Amino acid sequence: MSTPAEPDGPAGGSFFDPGRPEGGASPTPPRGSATGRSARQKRAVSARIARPPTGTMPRVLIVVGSGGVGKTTISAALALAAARAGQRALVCTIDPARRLVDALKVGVLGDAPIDVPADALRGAGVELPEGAVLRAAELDMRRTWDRLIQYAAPTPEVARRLAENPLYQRVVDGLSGSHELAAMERLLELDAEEAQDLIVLDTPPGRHALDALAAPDDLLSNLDSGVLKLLGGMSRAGLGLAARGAQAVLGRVAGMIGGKTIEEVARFAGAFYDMADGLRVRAEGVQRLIQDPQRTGFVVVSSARPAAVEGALALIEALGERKLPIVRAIINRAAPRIDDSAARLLEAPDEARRRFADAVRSGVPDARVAVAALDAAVALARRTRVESERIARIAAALPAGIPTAVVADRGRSLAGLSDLAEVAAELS
Amino acid sequence: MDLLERQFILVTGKGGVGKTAVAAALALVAARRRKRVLVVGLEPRDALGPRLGVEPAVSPSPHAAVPPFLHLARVDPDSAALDFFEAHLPTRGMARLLHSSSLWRTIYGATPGLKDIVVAGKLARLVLGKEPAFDHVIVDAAATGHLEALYAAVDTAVSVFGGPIGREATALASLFTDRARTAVHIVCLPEQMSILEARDLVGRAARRGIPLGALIVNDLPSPWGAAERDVALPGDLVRARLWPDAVPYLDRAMNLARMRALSAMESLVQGGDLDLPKIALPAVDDAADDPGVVRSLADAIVAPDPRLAVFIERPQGVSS
Repeated sequence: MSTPAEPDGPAGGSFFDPGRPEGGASPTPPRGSATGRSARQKRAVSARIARPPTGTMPRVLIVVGSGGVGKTTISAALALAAARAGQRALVCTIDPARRLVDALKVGVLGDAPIDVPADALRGAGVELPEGAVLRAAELDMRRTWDRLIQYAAPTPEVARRLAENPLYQRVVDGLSGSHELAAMERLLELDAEEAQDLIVLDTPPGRHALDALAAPDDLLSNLDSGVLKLLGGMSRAGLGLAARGAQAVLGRVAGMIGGKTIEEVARFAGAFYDMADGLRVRAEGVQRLIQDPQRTGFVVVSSARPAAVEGALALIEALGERKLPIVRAIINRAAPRIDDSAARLLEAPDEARRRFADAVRSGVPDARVAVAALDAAVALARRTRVESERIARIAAALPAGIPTAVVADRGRSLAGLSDLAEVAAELS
Repeated sequence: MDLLERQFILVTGKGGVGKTAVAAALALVAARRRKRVLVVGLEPRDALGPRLGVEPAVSPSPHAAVPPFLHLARVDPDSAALDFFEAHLPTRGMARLLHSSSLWRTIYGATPGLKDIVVAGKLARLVLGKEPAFDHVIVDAAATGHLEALYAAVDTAVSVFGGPIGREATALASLFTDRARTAVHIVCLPEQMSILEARDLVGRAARRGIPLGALIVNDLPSPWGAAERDVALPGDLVRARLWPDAVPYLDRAMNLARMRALSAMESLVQGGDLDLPKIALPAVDDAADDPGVVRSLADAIVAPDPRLAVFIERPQGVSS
């Protein structure tokens, strides 16, 4: 793989060589790179995905949901449940709360998976079967992107050029929506290591997670390959070589925002263009992995609050459109089921209150507490009723046969590993 | 603190804390005071309209008058860019042509901070504009991370960009950081993670020139004497007055309610030394329709429940 790629486009003359595909078609790979990393990698990734799942290939659960529903905690609980069932399970988190990290007793979570110590689990009343393990990691944007561009670049020089570009920092910071891409890339890496039986992947909140799973050519939002190619060509050959029409547009844009910025963007886009082929290989690998129901399942997490439920419904629809396999929905922090007493209270709450009126009036000790508890009970029962309707909507939106699990509201956030174990038990 | 002290108000907070409802509630309070207020959403899907019981505005008009005082608009990077071009290019036709070119779209998408500057510019025009003039422009702003990015973009725009964007940048930076005209309110939940996030932002705000207003703690439960010792359900009384099986459910409901209160209290104590005025908002019955929720929040802003003060007041004897 030592042949450096020839520069794309002729050394002088027009960039718009009539022989090259233009516009929406995939750009022809530059000469030389086809024999490089990209093609070899493509064969390896294809071969891997084409094999039927063997004992060594991990199963993948991708956890999606709106912000604030407890996705990260649920992800960790799912991994713990799998570990209890005898698997080597890894949870890869995005932005875990301090409390969760502390609960796992692994010190600091980072790029490399780390085992949750057996005695920490034992202390929480969890004894794992022989050979099982719970591991945790946190997505490291910088490292993941640095590795990705190494994989994707046809030569180390191209990777270095991009890494040194000041706009690359923005990608690494995740502000350009690159969190989701990085999560998927990390998934591909972890899958290839075959060191786990199950990988549970936490995702950033909301629908963007699914945008990253769009067709491989839509890798970088708003960058269409024809224009990308143009910008890439410009960065090497100088702005002056652009076709007249494009030049007019560029002139106007430069007039609006300043010419220096355009040059920087052109250089940045150029570096990405050089990796387009390699990035596409990775993206196709991700696509095939996540669309294979034998390998991957999506878990939709929601709370019972209206906004989260709307978010979950939108996600279920979007997953269906992309033919991505949902394996379950989980409603977190739900009010408890209504028992007979609760039902009775719901029917006639005022009557129930009246039964305490005289006790309150005559100052019976704790009568006020009883009334307060009664009010809380009525409110809770009402809440359960409303939540049940919302949960039913989610259940109805799921494909046939896909279950909805409900995790109880504890009134507080996770306090430690034993809390996590309780949630894991509810999800088993 | 009066949440409506300034003309330009941005409401920020992580996803799921109730930013949109709070922004809508603030707008309603202002409108009730007979102020001309514009409330603005930045999301692609209109979330404010349903909260206020209004159909989303049909383009091209960006404002939909609700009652005479309350106006609703959506600002998105795309239409804000078109707006900008129309203001700075000789003809509408040229503006449209440039705006629809894929070259522009690529550069727009790939240039860091450019979308933020364009959106900020549109917001500034709404604030400073005379036709119409608003007493308040309230923005249902992005989550805290993006808000910081917006401020960073505004800050560096002068040196990074040229042309009219660069020229606008100075005026923008001035408005967005002006304590006399602008306030950024942070909405959070009474949960550890949410409070810590808010605290992080408060820590960085000064450096970024973000003029913080108040910390709005949303979704507070009934206090249940959260600071007091154990409360036990009088089982005999309940069994006598209701029925024998009533105790477990009442007990469970009471314990859940007390746990919520204790947990809220604990999280706020932990974030306690945040040097920012705090506003307490109650958990609202979300079975009500969205406009009902917003009305309840507006009522709570105008007439705060004194029982919730226990959550946001500093405990006696703690040194500042």
